[in-house]
Amino acid sequence: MKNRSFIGLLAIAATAILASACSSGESDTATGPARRTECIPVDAVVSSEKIQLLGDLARSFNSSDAAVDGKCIDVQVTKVSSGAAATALVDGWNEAEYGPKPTIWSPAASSWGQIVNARQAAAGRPPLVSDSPTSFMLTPLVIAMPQPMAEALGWPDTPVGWADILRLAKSPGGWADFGHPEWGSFKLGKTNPNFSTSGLSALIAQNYAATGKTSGLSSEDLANPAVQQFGSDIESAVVHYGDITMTFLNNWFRADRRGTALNYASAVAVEEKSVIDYNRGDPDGELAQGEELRPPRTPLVSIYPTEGTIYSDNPLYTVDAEWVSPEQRAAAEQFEQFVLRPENQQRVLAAGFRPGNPDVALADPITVVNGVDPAQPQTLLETPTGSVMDQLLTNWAQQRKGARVLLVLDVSGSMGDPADLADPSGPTKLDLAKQAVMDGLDEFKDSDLVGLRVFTTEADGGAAKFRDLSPIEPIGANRERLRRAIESLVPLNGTPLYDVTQVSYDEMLSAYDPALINAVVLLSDGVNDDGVSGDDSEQFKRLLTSIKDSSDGENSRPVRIFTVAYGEGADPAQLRQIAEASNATAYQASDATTINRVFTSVISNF
Amino acid sequence: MKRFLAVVAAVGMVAAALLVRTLIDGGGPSGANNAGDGSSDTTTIICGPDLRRFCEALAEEDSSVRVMIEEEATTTDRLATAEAGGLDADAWFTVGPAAAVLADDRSSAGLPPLELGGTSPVLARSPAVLVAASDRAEALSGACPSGITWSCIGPYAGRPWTDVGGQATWGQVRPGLASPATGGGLTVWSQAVSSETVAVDLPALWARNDLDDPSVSAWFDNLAAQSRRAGPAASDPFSRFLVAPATFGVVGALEAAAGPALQRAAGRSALSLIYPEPLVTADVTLTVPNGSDPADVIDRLGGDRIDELLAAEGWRVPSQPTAPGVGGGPPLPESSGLPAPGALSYLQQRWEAAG
Repeated sequence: MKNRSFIGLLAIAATAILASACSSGESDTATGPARRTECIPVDAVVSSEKIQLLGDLARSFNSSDAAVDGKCIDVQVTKVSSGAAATALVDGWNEAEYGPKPTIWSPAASSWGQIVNARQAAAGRPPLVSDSPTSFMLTPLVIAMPQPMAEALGWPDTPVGWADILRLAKSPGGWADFGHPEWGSFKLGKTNPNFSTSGLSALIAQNYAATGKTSGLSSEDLANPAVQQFGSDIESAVVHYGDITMTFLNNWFRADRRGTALNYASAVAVEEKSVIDYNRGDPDGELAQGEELRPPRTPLVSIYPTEGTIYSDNPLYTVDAEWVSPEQRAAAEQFEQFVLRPENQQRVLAAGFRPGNPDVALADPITVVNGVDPAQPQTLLETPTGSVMDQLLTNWAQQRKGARVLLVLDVSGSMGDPADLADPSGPTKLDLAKQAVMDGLDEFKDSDLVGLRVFTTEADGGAAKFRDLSPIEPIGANRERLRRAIESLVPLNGTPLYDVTQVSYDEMLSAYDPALINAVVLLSDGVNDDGVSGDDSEQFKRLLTSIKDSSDGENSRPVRIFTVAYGEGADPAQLRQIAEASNATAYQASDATTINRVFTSVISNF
Repeated sequence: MKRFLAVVAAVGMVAAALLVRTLIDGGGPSGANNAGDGSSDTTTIICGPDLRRFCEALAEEDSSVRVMIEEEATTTDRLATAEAGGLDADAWFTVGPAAAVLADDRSSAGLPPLELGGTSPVLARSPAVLVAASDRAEALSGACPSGITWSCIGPYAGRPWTDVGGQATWGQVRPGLASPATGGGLTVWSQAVSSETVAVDLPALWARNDLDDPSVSAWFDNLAAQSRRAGPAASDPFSRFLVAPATFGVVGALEAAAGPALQRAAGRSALSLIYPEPLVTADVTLTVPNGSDPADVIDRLGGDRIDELLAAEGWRVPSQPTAPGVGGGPPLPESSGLPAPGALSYLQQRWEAAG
């Protein structure tokens, strides 16, 4: 990640996290029936991990007799990631993108509220949210580990912290030092702190751990070379970065089903609630209709770092903006009181959060059986100031694990089709994909190794199926040249998807660099079409087998293949299988409006 | 060319839908008695494709009955997004829990439930079966020692028969499973998924997230992609199999269709009917619009006549003798063995995506 201001980073976070939501194809609204127009409308924007819970609470509230001056209240809940909402609130709320302007805003943590107010102040505007919001539920950041691995470290009798993670990360022997060579090296999963509250909290915690402090983290601390080295060493163990913790948990769950959970990741920084969800058998914390709980074979346990941790305090803000009327404010106040009622706080508890109302005691599911400890955490860390967080992110951009990425772009004939069929003279799919890739180039730091390959049959006018526009080399000096090469691309012939994926994967594997995140980013709008259809099935099976063979096991050399299925002609099922075989993530951009955001989301893995 | 054909097909479907719509709305020669109150002489019934022959027989004996054949998923999709109104016919005969899927779809979309008069008890049942040429079935028996199931067949789909122990001249193992847009197709697919979930230690009564399990997911995608490769023939693989056996190596069907057909088929001894584990049944029910009662509609259409005609068409009806070729295999389970409606909807989505 190049250096940039914290505020700029938040803007990127906003688009990418929204893209993630869009790519999942899930609805963003949870409340249910259409708005009751006779009631006072209250739009609540909440972070994604609590959409189901708050949706349920809103439905109960709407069916109660709550009223303001005899007028009923209708609360509708929409999920928007905390970072995206923070940016939108300050920069101007786009209703087409995020839904109605919020009366209530509930990000994952009140640090987002501080950021909003700081940005408002920087722009000479009054604060938008209270400095002392009601925290209606809490969940601490923990280091989730498969139970056998935690036990190998001495858990639960021996306290474990970031320093232990550091020792493991630096050890050439990895898990062999603890009698388990079959687990390979220590692999850490962390979300990108520019995109994720968990990622930001983990970054704060590991920097506190480096200083030995629990409060008052300062810019001077961050400038200390020893602190910076601590950060770099921790990051060196990272498998890849994710945009949201669900990405990791879903991958982990799939690996668990394959029996390779201990090889995919050794530890991931997540919220305590996510450990409960995972162990219950609901890794993404959102049971869709028709889904049922399927507990994993290997449960996770929560490590509460000895150096201390941070709570996601889930504030309920009533937004202090001109679009919120006095009666809406009064209605929002009633909803807040409703949520804090003991019976509703029991529902908060049942969802795996710690209740904000102290009258409700901790109980199931905050229990040891679910991999969490109600007596923890024993040490809390103070949230740093906005400027220190800005510095943290700037430093992280340099400390984070480097990437070695081959971008593989489909330039087959169908990419010349209009992106929007209703606008035949508008930009083609290739036009928009090119723009997305060019924008994505900015997200790599200068030292990242990035190559660009385009593929189509007769790529060179002869038998070649691909053409390398740039070898894999540091992107810093190469960025503009790559951009010009991408600009000149035109759609050509067929789609030799399997062949080119296999060759690209094999090349990345043969030059695998354990010090870097090794990945292929594959973007295609079509299905395999190499002119020989008879061997497609065998080709695809061979491809999957070779990817799986290299991705699992203690001696694995993980080369992740992140796929982007673009447009309706793509085969999302096959691309998903390719991505999942490599323990990566499949993305889908169903139309022209999402490709840019989805591609940014893909790049957030590096 | 493919795109052109797709456009032509789409236009055709739209025209057909408009025609059906017109008939249902009462724009046809005789309108539906939508209120279900007996105020019209005509009774309009919508039937899933697996019930075509039964419904047509019903109409043949009673000129006041008008029949519309529509895939259950098409009816469900149409009603799932309807802002107002209800079922636009006097009765909806379905295979499988179409009304429950509809309710679930509306709930997922945040829409209020569609007001319906209710769904009848199960009128008839038929288990999902496999049909293969006997020599192919014998080869599969060798490759699938625990029993011939879609779970076992799935990994071989698209591979040469020689991998299964068959002959090179048989070419590739081509599976035939109908689209899950029909009640019968959905039952066959759900049974196939159950066989796979059991094989990987998941419940036979599978859930939506089980389809995302790595093993199940890869198995499903392959089987769906291979079964869809037959193109137009894949819309009714069993019928195609009967007239052009080489099109498919093994097909899924309902016993109601396969049992009697194999009994009638020339060279039937060369064909095998297999009851795969776990047994899953397609259950026929009748759903009626708001203001109507399923029992009243059954009385109006003739309860005994419904039973007789369903049994004659190969369905298992408790009070009726079974048709020739029907009734083999193990006893039917008490319930259908189908999972929750949300899981069935997801299966349909995954099948679409696998194309």
